[in-house]
Amino acid sequence: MKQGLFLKIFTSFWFTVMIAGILLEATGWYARRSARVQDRVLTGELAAAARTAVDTLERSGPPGLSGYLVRLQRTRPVMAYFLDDRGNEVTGRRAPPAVRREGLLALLESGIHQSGAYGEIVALQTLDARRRPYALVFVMQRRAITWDLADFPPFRLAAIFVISGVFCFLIARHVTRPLERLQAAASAIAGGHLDTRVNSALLLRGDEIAGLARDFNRMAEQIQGLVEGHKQLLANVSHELRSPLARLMVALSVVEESPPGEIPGKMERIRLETRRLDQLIGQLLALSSIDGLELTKVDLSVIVQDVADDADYEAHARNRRVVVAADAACVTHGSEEALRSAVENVVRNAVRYTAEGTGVEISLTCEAARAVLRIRDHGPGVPEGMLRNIFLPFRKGHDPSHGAGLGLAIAQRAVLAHSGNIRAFNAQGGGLVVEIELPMAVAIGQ
Amino acid sequence: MGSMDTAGRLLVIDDDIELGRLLRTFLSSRSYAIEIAENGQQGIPKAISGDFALIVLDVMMPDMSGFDVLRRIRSVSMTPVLMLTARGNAQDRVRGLELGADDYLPKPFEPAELAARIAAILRRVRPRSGSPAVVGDVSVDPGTRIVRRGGEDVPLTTAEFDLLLVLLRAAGSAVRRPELAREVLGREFSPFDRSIDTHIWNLRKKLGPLPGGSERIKGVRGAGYLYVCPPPGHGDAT
Repeated sequence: MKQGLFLKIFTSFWFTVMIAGILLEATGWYARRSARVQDRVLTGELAAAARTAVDTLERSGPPGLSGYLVRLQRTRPVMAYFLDDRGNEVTGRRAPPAVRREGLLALLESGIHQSGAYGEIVALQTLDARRRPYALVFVMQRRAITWDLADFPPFRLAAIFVISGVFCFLIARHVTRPLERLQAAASAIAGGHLDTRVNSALLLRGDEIAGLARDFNRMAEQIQGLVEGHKQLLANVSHELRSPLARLMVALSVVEESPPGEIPGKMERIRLETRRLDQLIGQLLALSSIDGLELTKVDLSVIVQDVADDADYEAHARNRRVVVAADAACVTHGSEEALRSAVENVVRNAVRYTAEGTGVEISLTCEAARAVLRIRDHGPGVPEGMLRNIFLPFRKGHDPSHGAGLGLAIAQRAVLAHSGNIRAFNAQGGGLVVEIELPMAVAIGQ
Repeated sequence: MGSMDTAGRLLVIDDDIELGRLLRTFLSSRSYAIEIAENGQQGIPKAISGDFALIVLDVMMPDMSGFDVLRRIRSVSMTPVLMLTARGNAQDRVRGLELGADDYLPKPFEPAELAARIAAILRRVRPRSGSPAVVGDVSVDPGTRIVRRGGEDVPLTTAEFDLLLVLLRAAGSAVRRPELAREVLGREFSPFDRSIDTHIWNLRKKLGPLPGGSERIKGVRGAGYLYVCPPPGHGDAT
């Protein structure tokens, strides 16, 4: 239910507007219909009423007629006028011009005469005993369809007020409450409380807000991890910078106090420590530049072969070898630089630890969905409990001649940036295996 | 072996072996003999053997931290310890002193400064002439460097011992912090240096309150510290 919130808001508003419209239309329709029915009834009564009016006039004169007309008007929604043959109202009231006009027409010709905007004026001729013509004119009262508040029972008005109010309140709260919570969480994070997470009740809603809450929590997780990782890295870096600096400072003092003849030999020490500092800083830069990769088409087998050739050349000097078994071509999408440095760091690490006279074995298998790169050395391996930690920065044997301790961290960072996986395990028969798995899914545009 | 002459023999406990070797070269020209231990397991037995005049101990070590090593050493030995701490970590400094370190130096350090600190500590350790100072139930003998409270030995580090001696000699009047720093630590006082306060705190803990229950060493705002003269009559109570 990805569209839950949209549907909720859309349907509830649509429903509300539709109900209001239908009610209005129905009221109007009903009013018009009942008016038409009434008109027909009144028109039907016109002949009988005219007869009675003439009789009443003859029997009791204008005052009696006046009483009859008043009774008519009281019992029916109608204004009644009675005109004599000259068009004058018999009871002495003033007839409106439209009534007079219709009455005069009726005096000339028998039958029902009808006019007015709604056909609300009807007139009929009638004759008295001396065959003198008279006209009875009805103006049928049609109430305009207006919302006459006074006509509404107050409790119904209140009910509409309350029910629509509650309904709208619930909808509004349903939408804004989770947003308030999200806002509170966001401002807590902005205030530095990186461990803030959105309440799990929000996650169970199954609408867009739940999606937002989930992503919010993921973002917070990510940011917290990054910040803490950087803090840890910074702490480690400052310690790692301290060690060569401490050695440098002591070495400088030693040189200062040495007889001139011994100085060149001791300067070598200082050069070494300076190189280490440089190497450490270079690796740190490499580590931080892995974020924000530029992706191109990359052939893994070429990278592996290149790295292996270089490493083999260097390893020969120390009586070690590097052997490769790679599939012919293994093309994927990625950053050549980052992948190369990942492979290079793992291979160099393996060459460093493999025993004299042995070789580092590299195999690259390329499948449809993934590429698997295995690098195996014949060294002492790593204690099981430490395996998980070897990819953390500065986890290494404590001999600093083994490098700055960032190589495997760089490799891991690069592999993870390619949505890949890197793990290490001890091989049967000794030595360490580092396995890099890279997805091929985004690969091969053509 | 404990009785053998320890003068000038130093133990460096640091996982950075290369730094240890460099220190050996540097300090041997100042006629110290250096032994190196690269972790706590190796270092602790050597440290408590009594063969060394002073121990230089690094705080940041894998496996067992310098604090753990110091705690183990202090549980059996009062050999002076100088800690190498992480620069910019005030907590570490105080923590080392609380655990009984005699002094600390942030890493990286000027080797000359290290040599000066070592010399200062060793100078203090050397037995000095002078009559024992006795105030109330506490007696301090600079010759044997033995402290007794009510007849019982109280083991103190060299810094604590010297601090107590200075305060006892001036018992009843306050001694200012800069003076204490000069006398006890052998260096100029700096306003952010909390070493003296930490040592005082340790002393209070080790000596306990006066027989009457009140504090032995009082802090005097703006003036320093003062060892309280017990009222006559309570003087020799246990």
